Amino acid sequence: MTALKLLDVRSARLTAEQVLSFDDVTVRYSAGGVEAVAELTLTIDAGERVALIGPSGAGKSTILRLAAGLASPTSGSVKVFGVDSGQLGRRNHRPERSRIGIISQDYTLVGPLKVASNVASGRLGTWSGIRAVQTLFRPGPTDDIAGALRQVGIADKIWERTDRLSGGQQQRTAIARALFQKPDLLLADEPVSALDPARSDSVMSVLTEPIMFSSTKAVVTSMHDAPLALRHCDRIVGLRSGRIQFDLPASHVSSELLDELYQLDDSQ
Amino acid sequence: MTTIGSEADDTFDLPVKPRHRGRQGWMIAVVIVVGWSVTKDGIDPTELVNPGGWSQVRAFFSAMFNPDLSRDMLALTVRESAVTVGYALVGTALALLIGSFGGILLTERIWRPIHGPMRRGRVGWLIGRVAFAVPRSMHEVVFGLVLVNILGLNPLVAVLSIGIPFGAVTAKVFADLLDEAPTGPEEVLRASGAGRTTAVLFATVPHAFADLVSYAFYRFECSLRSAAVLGIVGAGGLGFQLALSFQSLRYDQMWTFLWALVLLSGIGDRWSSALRRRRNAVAVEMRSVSKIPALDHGEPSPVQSTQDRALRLSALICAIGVPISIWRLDLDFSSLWAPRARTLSNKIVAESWPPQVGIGGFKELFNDALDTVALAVLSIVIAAVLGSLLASLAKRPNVSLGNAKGPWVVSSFVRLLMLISRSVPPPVWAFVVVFVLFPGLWPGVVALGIYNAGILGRLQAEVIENHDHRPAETLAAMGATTPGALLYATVPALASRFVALSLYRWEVAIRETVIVGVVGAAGLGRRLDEQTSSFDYDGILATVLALLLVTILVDLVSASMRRNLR
Amino acid sequence: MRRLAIVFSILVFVTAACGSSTQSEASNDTSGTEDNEAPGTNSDTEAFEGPLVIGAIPDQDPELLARNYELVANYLAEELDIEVVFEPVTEYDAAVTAFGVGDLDLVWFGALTGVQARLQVDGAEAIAQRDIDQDFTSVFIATTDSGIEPVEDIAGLDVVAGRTLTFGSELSTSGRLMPQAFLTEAGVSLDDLKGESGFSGSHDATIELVEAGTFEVGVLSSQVWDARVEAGEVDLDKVQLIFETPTYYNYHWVARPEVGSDLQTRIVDALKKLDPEDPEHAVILEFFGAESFIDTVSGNYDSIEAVGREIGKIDG
Repeated sequence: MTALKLLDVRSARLTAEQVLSFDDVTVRYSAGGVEAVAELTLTIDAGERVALIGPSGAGKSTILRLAAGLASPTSGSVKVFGVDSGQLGRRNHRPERSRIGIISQDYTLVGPLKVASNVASGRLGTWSGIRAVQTLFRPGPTDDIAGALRQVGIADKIWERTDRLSGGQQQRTAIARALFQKPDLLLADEPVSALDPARSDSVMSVLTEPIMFSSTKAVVTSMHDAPLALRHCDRIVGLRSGRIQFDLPASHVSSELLDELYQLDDSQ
Repeated sequence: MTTIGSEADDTFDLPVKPRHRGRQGWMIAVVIVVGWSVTKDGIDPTELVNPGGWSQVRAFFSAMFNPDLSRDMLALTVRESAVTVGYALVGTALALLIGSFGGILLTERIWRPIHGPMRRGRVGWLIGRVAFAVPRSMHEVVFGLVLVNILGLNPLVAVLSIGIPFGAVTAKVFADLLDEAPTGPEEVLRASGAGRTTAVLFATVPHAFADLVSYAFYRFECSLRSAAVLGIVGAGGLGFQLALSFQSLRYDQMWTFLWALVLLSGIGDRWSSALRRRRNAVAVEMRSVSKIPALDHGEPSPVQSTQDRALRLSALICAIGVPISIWRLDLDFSSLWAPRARTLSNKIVAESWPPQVGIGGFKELFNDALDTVALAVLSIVIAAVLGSLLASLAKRPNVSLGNAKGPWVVSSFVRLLMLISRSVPPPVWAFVVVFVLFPGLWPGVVALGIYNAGILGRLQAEVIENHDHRPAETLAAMGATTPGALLYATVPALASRFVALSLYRWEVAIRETVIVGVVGAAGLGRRLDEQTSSFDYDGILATVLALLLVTILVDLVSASMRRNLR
Repeated sequence: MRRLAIVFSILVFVTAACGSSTQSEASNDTSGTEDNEAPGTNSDTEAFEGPLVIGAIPDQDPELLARNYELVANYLAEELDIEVVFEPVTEYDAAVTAFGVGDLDLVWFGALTGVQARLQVDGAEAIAQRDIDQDFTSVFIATTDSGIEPVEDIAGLDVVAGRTLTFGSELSTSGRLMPQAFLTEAGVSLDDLKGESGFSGSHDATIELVEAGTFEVGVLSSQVWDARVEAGEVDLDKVQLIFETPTYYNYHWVARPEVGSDLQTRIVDALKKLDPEDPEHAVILEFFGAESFIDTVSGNYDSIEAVGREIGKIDG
C-alpha cells in the first residue's frame, strides 16, 4: 500500500508538537448523573489520524466537543495546542481557535446562506471585520471555495441555498467548510454518516489525506463504521460508556476486539 | 483515492452565480415604497412638530410613576378589568366556536373525494374560503362600528366584534391544521365504511385539536388587547374608563387603568406563551394565512404530559370563566334576533346601500387608501427596527463559547418596556403623540410603530430564544470573532424570520390603521371617523369596501414577499 | 351534496336578509326604526313604560357629568314618578347613535348633534332648552405667550392664521361647528392654521391644553369658559379671552317619539319648574349654568342644520 510510503514522508517532516491532550477528564451532564466521559487520559500528537469508535453513548461526541472548547470537563483538564480548553473562548486565544476545524454531527450550517458563504465562513477566524463583511456579499476566493466543494463532489451546488440541500449534501458542505479552512486540528464527528459507502470512502480520503502534506497536523474523527475507520486512520481508540477499551494502531485492531466493543450490554 | 483524483481533475464549469431577480426586485420595491411613504406627508419638522405639546407628554409619562391608587379607583379598576377579561374570554370562546365549525367546513378534507382531485367540491370549498376571508380582513373596531348601529349600547357588540373576525382567522388556521394532519387514520375509517364528515371528525379533528386549543390561547391574548381598544370606542371595561379619564386629562387615573392593562396583558402573554411553547402559534397562523412555511425552526417537540395537563387545566378554567362572564356581563343573546335588531339592520343596510364615494370622488378615496398603506408601511419599519433592537437586548443571541447572558436588569427592563408599549392601546399612544405631532400621517405612524414594536419585539425575542445557536457556536470555536459569528450565523438565520414576522405584522397593521384614525391620523381610518361622526352610512360602506380591497392587496403582496424569503 | 346544500342555504339566508332590507326601505320612511310600531301610536293612548333612559353628549369632564346627571335623573324620577336612568357615553356620535337605535330616550344634545339625532329618528322632537341657549356664544381663547391681542369683530379673527388651534369635540356646536363657521366668515380656512387643527375632546380639555401651551388658540363654549373663570380654575396670566362670537341657538333636550306627548309635556314642565331659589334645584341649574329651562321647537335649529351641511357634518 502507498500508505507505508506516505507514513515515512510524514514522520520525517513533522516535529512532535502535542496537539491535544486529555488528563483524567470526567464529564457529567447533570450533577450525580451518568458519566459521559470517565477518567479519560489521552494524548494526540501532530501527524496522527485518530478514529474514535464505539457504540452509541460511548462518549465520542463529548470528547470532540471538549476538544473544540464547546464543552467543559466536570473534572480534569483538556489542552488544545497547549491552551486549557476552558480558556479557549477568550479573545486572546482566537489564533488557537482558528487552527481548529470542526465538522459536527448536525452540520451546524447557516440554512438561509448560500453554500459558498457557508464554506467561506470557515476562514472567518483569520479575516478582518471588513473582509468578513465583504465576503458575506461576495464569497471568495471563489476558486478555493469551488475547490473544496469539488473535493466533496458538490461544486455544482455552490450558489444554492444551504437549507435546500439534502442531508448528505449539507454534510458535505460542512466538510468543505473545514477543508477550506485548512485547520491544524480537524475534529470530525461522524463526518460521513449521511453519505453512501462509496462517497464515504472518498470523503474520508479527502479528510485524512492533507495530513500527508502537512497542511493538517492531526485529525480526530468519530465513526460508527469500524472498517472505514481502519482504512483511513492510523490510530483507533475504542470507547465504551465513556471509558477507553483499547487504544491501538489500526493494524493491531482485531475483529474480536471490535466484536467485544460493540457487544450489546444485556445486563442493563 | 482514485475517485478523488478523477473528480479533482474534472474541471467542469461552475454554475453561473444566479441573480435573485425576485428578491432584488422586492428589495428595490421596499426601498421605493418606504421612501415614498416618508415623503408622503412631508418631513418639514416645523409643519409636523408642535413643540407646545411636550409639557403634556411629560405630564403623561410622569403620571406613570404615580397612578391614582385611591380605594375607589382600585375598586373600579378591578371591576372594569373583570369586564375587559370577560369580553376577551367570551369573544375568544365565540371565535373558537366559529373557528371549529368553520374550520371543518373549510378543510379540503370534507370536500375532496377519498381519492383523486377535488372537482365538484371545489365550488363549495371556494365559496367558504371567500366568505371567511371578508371578516378576516376587517379590524374588530369596524365590526363594533356596524354592530352598535344594530344592537345599540349592548355588551354583545364587544363580544361579537372580537368573536367574528377572530373566528374567521381561527377557522382558516384550523382548516389548514386539518389539511396538514396525516391522512392515514381518516382513510382507514373511510375504508371501513364511515361517512366523510364522520371520518374527519373522529380521525382528523382530534389530531389538530391540541394545536387549535393552544392557538386559541394566543387568540385570547390578542382578544385582551382588542377588548381594551373596543372599550375606548365605547364598549365598556378598562378601555372605556381610559377614554373617560383621558377626556378630563386625568393622567394619574389613566395610568391606574393602563397599569391594570399591562398586568393583564403580561399575565395573558405569559400564560399563552407557556402553553404554546410546544408549538409556535404565531408560526401556525403565519403559515396558515399565507400558505407558506413560517420559517419556524422549532419542530413540534414530543408532547409533554405536564404541558398537556397545564393546557387542559387552563381550558377548564376558561370553560368555567365563559358562563360566569356571560352572566356577569349580562349578555343577552336573544337581542340578536329581537325585532329591533332586525329593523335596525334593515335600516342600516337601506341607508348604506348603494355605497357612495362622496365628496372628492375616487381620487380622494384613492389618496386616502395610499395614505393608509404609507401609514402601515412606516409604522412597521419603525416597529421592526425598534423591535429587533429591543428583542436583542431582551434576549441576547448566544454566540460565544460558554454562556454569555445579558445582564438580567437590562433584559427585564427591556421586557417591561416592550410589555408596556404593546399593552397601552394604540389610540392612547396616538392621543399622546398628537400633543407633539400635528394630526396627520405621522402621529398614526408613531403610535402604531410604538405599539407594534412591543409586539414584534416579543415575537422576535422568541425567535432569538428558539433559534439554533450551534452554527454560531461552531464558527466561534473555529476562531471567528463574536461579531463575525453574529454576521455569518446569527444574522442570516434571524433576518429572514424577522422580516417574515414584520411582514406578518404589516398585514395586521393595515387593519389597525382604522383605530388611529380617531385622532386624525391620515388615511381611510380618518375618513371612516369623519363619516361616522357625520352618520354618512353610504360613505362608510364605500370606505369599508376600499379598506377591504387594500387589506386583501396587502395580504397578497406580503404573502408573495414571504414566499420569496424562502 | 349535503355540504353544498348547507352553503347554499346560508347564501339564500343572506340574500333574503338583503332582500328584505331593500323592501323595507320604503316603509322605513314612515315607520321609523322602532319595534314595528309606528311612532305616535302609543304616545297618546299608552303610557310610556319606564325606565326613562337619559343621556348627554360628553362635552365636559365625565366625572362632573356622571355626578350631576345622577341628580337630574333623581329629580326627574321624583317629578315624573317613573324610573329614570343616566347612561354615560364617551363620544358625541355615540350619543347620537344610542339615541338613534333607541337606547337613550331623552338626551341633552348640542345644536349639531341634536339635528343629527332628529334626522336619525322620525318623530323625535326638541322639547326644551335653557334660557342661555337662545343666544349662545363661543369664545376664542389664546395663550398670553402667543401675543395675540383681543379682537373687535369677526373680521379680526384672521389673527389666528399661522397659529396652532384646537377645537373641542368634532361634533361640538360651540367648540367646533360655529367657531369654524365664523373663521370661514373671517376668511380663515383650516389650511391657514399652523399644522392641522386639533380636537381636544371637550371644553375643559381645550382650556387645559391652551393653558399648558400645547395649542396657542382654543375655541369653546362661553358658558363653560365663564363658569371655569368664575370658579377661579383658569390661570388668566397664561390664557386670555380674545373674542366672543355672535349668538346662535345651542343645547336642547331631544325626546324620542315613544316617550309620548303626555310624558314629554310633563318632562318639560318638570324642567321649567326648576327654581334657582330652591337649594336642591339650584345645584342642577348651576351645573347647567342657567337660570331656568324654557320651551323650544325643532325649527329653532334650521340654521344650525344649514351650517352643519356646509361643513359636511350632516350628510345628504
